[in-house]
Amino acid sequence: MKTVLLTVLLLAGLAFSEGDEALSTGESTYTGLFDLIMELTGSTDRSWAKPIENADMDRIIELIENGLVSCHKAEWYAVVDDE
Amino acid sequence: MSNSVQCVLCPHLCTLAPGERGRCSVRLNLGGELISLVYGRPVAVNNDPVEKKPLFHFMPGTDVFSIATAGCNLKCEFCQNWEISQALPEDVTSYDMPPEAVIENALAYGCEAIAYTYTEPAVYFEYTRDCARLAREAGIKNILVTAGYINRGPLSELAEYIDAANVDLKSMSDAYYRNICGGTLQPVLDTIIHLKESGTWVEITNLIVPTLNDDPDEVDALARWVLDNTGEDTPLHFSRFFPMYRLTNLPPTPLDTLQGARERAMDIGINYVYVGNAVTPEGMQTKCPECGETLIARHGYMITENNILNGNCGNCSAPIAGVWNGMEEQQ
Repeated sequence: MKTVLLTVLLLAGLAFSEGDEALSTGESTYTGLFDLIMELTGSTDRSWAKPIENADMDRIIELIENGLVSCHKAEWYAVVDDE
Repeated sequence: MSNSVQCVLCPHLCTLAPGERGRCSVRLNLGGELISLVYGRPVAVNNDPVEKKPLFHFMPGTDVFSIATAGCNLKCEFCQNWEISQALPEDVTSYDMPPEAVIENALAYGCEAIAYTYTEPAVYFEYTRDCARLAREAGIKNILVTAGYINRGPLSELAEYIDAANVDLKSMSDAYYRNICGGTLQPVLDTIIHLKESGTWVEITNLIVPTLNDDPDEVDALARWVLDNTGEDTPLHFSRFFPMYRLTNLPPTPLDTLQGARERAMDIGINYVYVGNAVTPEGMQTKCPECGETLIARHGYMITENNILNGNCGNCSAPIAGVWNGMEEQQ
């Protein structure tokens, strides 16, 4: 359903936009449309960023025990409430 | 209970299950607690001239104790320090250097400032903050060399101790940030404004990469943003790209491009525009915006002439923006 809605929105946006993308400022006439799409999908996907990866925990623990990497409590994080 | 955590240090807002590390590679969920793998473990430790940061209007000619841990929350395809910024902390040799040792070393080497640099100091936030706090107590200045991809809360906490910053503004295009750097533009602009408002001396660097962000219109847009948001006295450094990391297929930035960018930015109204990583006729010189006299001449990172007297032009006495040796900031 979302896919259909997004396609309609994209086509509508393309049909009614003036299409003059202002590359120099990074702003685009399509920005509002993309923002709307992101809002509708509620996506937190950051496919453009580096991926979140699993660490080799056996190796990490070994390195921590040998003092080769730190195990310092970080700040600025929240525990995720599954509810 | 999943024991997942969400890191809110930077705009990525990584949600991490146990055993996962953030996009920075240095913050890890260990059994439901977020830990830093790089606190007190720098992988680069050097004594640099402040001009190398680059900072041209902040205590010129002084030595800066410079440190970096592994890790970065961006993935710029042109990264000049990718061997350490893109490395996993467990894959690079590090020093055991807690904050107290950083201060001791800085004092022992006669450095008047400590720079958190080379990689991304935002991702080793706790280490940066603790070093900076101790440095402040010891009368040592703190310099942040950053891409500015950090959230406002931690930035505010850090800014309390930061005297000067060079922020890398890579482009004025959000698409460029996403496609080339793995980030977004707006948080970087917010960081620059916030640092400026917090009283930090700010200089801005833009790496000009052939074919990717060398369009004169984009240079104009960047210079206008700097002018409108940080003022005409914010030094702007256009830096030369050399083929590196994942962009070895591109040539070095032509000198004419850099020189042209400098001239355009000055025409737009920025008073102090420099060319870095390259030798150009006037790209390393600080000139008085009032009378045009050469105030600071540099050869590489070495200062060969300094005609700034008590923060003023030695010729016409116009005030020159910056933090000059032995003086408070002058804007």
